[in-house]
Amino acid sequence: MKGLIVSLIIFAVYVLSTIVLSHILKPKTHGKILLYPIFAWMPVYFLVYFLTPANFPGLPSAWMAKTVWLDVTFGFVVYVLNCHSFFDFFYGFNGGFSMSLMLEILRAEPSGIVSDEIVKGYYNPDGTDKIYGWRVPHLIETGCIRIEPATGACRLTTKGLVIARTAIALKGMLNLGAGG
Amino acid sequence: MERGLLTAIIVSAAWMLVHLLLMQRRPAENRFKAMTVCWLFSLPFIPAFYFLAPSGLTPHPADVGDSIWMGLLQAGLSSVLLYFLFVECFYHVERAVTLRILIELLNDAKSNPTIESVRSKYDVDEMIRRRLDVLADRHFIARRDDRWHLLPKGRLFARTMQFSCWLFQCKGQKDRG
Repeated sequence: MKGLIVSLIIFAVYVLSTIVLSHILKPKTHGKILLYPIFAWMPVYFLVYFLTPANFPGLPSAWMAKTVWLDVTFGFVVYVLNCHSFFDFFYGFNGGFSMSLMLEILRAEPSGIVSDEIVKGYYNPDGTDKIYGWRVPHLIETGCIRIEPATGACRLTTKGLVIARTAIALKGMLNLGAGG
Repeated sequence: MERGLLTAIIVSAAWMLVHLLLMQRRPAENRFKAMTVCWLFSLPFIPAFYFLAPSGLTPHPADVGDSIWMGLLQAGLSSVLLYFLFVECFYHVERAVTLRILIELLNDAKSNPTIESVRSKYDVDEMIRRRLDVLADRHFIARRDDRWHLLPKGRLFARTMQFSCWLFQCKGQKDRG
C-alpha cells in the first residue's frame, strides 16, 4: 500500500509540475514538457519510498507490505501507467482532432455551425490546410519522413517505416479500417 | 501482493484476447462499448482467480500473512489501469490522423508519393465530414436544420478541453495554424 500511496503523490506532483512548466515556458509543443518530468520524478519516487518510514503515511500493520521490492515495483508500475494515461489524456483532449471539432461547435453556440464553415476553419488564408500544414513539418522534424527537394516525393525514413508497419499490424489485429 | 498483480495481468490479458477474437469475428460498431463490456465481464473473474488460483502459481495471501483485501484492491486497481491503457492504445491506432498519413505513404511508396497525392486520397474535407458523422453517431453532436450543435456529452468534453488548454497553455489543432 505504501508504494501505491507514494506513487499517487508523486504522480500528482508530476501533473502539477507539467502545468507550472506550461505556464512558465508557454511551449509550442508539449512533448518534452510532458515526457522529461516523468523521468525526473522517477528517482524522487524511489527516494521518498526508501527514506520514509515503512508505515508511511500512518498505515496499519495489515496494510504494510511484507515484500518491499514488490511493493515498490507495484507503485512504480502504477506511476508509469498513470503517466501514460495522462499523456494520452493530454494528446487526446488538447491535441485530438475530434476535440478540436467539438470546440469549434462550442464556439458557434447557440446558433450552431454548418459543415462547410467548420471545413473552412481548417484552412489558412493562403489556401493551405491546417491538418497537413502542421503535421507534415512535425513528421519531418521528428524524423519520420523526408521530402526530396528535386521531386517533392515524400519518403518514409526507417523510423516512419517502423511506425507505419506497426500501425498496419495493430489495425489488422484490432480489425480496423483505414481510420484517421 | 504478487497474487493481486498476477490476477490483474492474467484476467486483463484474457479479456483483451477474448475482445480481439470477437472483433475479428464480428467487429462491433461501438468499439468503446465492446471493450468496456468485455472488461466489466472480466471483473468477477478477479476475485475468482485471486482465491482459486493454485498456491504453486503464487502464494495464497493467507499463507504469507498478507491482507486479502489489499491484494484484491491491488488487483482491481491494476485491472482499471490496464483497461485504460488498452482503450487509449485502441484510439491512438484507430483515430490518429498522423498514423493514417504514414500508412498512406507506405501503401503508395512504389509510386513516389507526394504530400499532395496523399492529400488527394485522404482529403481534409472528407476527414472532417467523416469525423463529424462519427461524433454524431456517438451522440457528442447533433445536426438541426443543417447546423451542428453539441449534445450534453459533447459540451462536457468541449468545456473540459477549453479548461485543459488554458491549464497547459496550449492550442487545439485548428488554432495552431
